[in-house]
Amino acid sequence: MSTADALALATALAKVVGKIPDAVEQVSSWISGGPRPGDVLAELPSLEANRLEMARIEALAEKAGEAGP
Amino acid sequence: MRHALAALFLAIGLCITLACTTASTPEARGASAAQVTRLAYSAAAVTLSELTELHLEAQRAVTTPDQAAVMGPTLREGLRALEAARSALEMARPYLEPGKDEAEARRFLRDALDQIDALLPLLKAVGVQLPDEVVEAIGYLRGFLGGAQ
Repeated sequence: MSTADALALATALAKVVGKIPDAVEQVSSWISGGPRPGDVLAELPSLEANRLEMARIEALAEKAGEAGP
Repeated sequence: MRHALAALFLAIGLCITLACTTASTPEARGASAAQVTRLAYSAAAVTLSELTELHLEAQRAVTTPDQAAVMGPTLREGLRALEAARSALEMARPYLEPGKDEAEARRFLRDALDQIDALLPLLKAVGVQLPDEVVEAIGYLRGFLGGAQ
């Protein structure tokens, strides 16, 4: 990956959630001796709420089946 | 959290730029390549978080038995894709540590991206409007990881 590609990727991803000034601040902190941003990995989402909703929807669908055509 | 992740992404991009412009040894260049893979992992994780939230919103919009009967199977399939993508990312994570096989990490990242690709039409089928930024981020990830077009 070229430097331009890396920047394009980072910029596109930053646009997903916005707030470019925060990024600049974080880089400034790193340059001043703070933690290197790349050392931190994003956390994976929990799917628990989706599983609970799925159970609710399937229970609802059963009611539709019981009501019949 | 979203703001912090946004900061992370752009900061990593800037760090890579700095690394690329200052690296004079193969080791230094290798280190920046590993950092890009870590960026791709974080990008995939955040993209998955966004898609998980969109899936959840679609689920919460289902309020009647008839809606549930029509949309339930698609939402169930979507949940399977989310779980498979998350699982692939979990598999990738150990390979992001220093000294581990980065190619393995990229293989699992590609698996996760395949699952994300499978999820997108399912979300559209239940009425989810995918934000342009999310689509764009997935496109960049696909380009980086060499996934299916």
